[in-house]
Amino acid sequence: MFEYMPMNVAPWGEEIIIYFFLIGTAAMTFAVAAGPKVFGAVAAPFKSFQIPGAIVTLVLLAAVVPLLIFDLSQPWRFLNPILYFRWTSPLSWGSVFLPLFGLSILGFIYGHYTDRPGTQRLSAVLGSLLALSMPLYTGLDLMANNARELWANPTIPVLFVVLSITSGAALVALIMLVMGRFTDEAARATRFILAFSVGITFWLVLGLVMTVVYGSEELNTAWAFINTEFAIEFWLLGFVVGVLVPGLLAIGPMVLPGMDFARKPVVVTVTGILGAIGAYTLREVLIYAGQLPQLYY
Amino acid sequence: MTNIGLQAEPSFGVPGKKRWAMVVDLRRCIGCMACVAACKAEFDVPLGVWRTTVRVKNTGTYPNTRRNFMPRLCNHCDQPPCVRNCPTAATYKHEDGYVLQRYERCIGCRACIAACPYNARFMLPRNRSRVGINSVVDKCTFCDHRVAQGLVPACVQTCIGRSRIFGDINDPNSEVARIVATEKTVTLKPGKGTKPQVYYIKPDRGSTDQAQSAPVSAAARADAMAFYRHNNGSRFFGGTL
Repeated sequence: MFEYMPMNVAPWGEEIIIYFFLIGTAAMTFAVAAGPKVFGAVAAPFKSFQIPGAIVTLVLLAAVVPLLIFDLSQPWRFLNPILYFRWTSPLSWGSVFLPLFGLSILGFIYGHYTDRPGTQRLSAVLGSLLALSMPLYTGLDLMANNARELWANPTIPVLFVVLSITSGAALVALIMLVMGRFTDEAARATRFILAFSVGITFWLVLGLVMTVVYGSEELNTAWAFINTEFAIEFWLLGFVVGVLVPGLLAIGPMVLPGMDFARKPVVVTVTGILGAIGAYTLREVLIYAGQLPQLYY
Repeated sequence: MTNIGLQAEPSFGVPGKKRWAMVVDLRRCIGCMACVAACKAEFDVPLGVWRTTVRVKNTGTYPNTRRNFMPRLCNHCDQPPCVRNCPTAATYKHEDGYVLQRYERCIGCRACIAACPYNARFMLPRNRSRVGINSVVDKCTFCDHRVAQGLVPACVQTCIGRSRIFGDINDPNSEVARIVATEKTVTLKPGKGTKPQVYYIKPDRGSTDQAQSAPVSAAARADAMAFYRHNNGSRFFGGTL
């Protein structure tokens, strides 16, 4: 017999991270697509994106919902969270909001093609609120676990929302660029959205790092994981590639002379894609590093 | 504290109510693993997962070495986070204090595994042939079926050193109530607010603290490395399971 540590292993793997990323991206893509109906002239640059955006969101939803269901080890019981709804579980809320979000997108498209602006606007408003709830509930799903100290932090849901805004803006830019509709006005609006979301991500990540550095022994263990096993993902892909560089590209033209090239639609799209890489890797590191310290216990 | 999200009020210290609890006297544990074997036999627990374990840890350097044993199981918390977090109420709190599982409701989302601070829950594998309960989360039940018959849990029954003691902590005449009242006992991670109901007598601090406790021996290091390689090598669709 030797020193032996039998451990029941970590519960959540890559499929959950992919789901969190894609559902957040889809949600915020729809929020931009619905923008002209919700906010009117302020979101006018995205008017040509309304229907393409809603359809892309629907396609993404059709892809990620089966991913979520088949991640369950009892996939055919996927309706149980609705049948046995429990308000203390964020996952229960998510399982109700997710189909309602899908219905709102359908209502939005239906309103457009049947020329019913009232239906379309109502679907846009409800869909935008439900879109906000998508990254919010995934973050709350982590935050609710006070046993995992890296997750049990009220900034996590907010961080997940801003990461979703970044990746959603990236998808909007990419689709509009491919469709040839990424006008200078749309690129400017997208760059503002990215500046806002990447800027907030910077401060939230900084706050999270400070919390972890001055935190408990478990947080210190998580910090050790972040700086060893996940160092390249967190610092290089997450922070430098995903926050600092897109932050510079998005905010630079407002404050630095000689950065006018970053106003070009192509560069704005690249900015978004870099931010989306950061949005994925930061989520990945937080989800893994949040689970691993406990296995040492 | 409240009973928000729980099916039964916390019963610890409530007169007239039962509150089953366990005391583990670490001075008496010899690391024979009979409790683990008895539990495996009682529930046909598959290979690779455990309802109860005995962590073995060597400390010190030769010739001043010591081997520490740390039996672990579900703490049947009075404020169980796994119960609150379960989206289908598949995990529920029994009025006598057990935290139990409804297998027919469990969807296998693993939210309860994430919520448990004690690493006490696990997923039953798909390829389990003799017992028809597969692909759902499982855990220690304090052998509620045996307790209902007036017996003690299988691990307690088989413990040759009488290291594990089981009973109703609300009954002042029970052995567990007497021990908890008179001996110096600790619970695991009390700061989590879970009010665990497994009490330990004289544990080694290195065994109970949340730890940067990387394994010391070469064999254990190899074991842990294999464990992490396995986890990191297969992250998709339950690869972490």
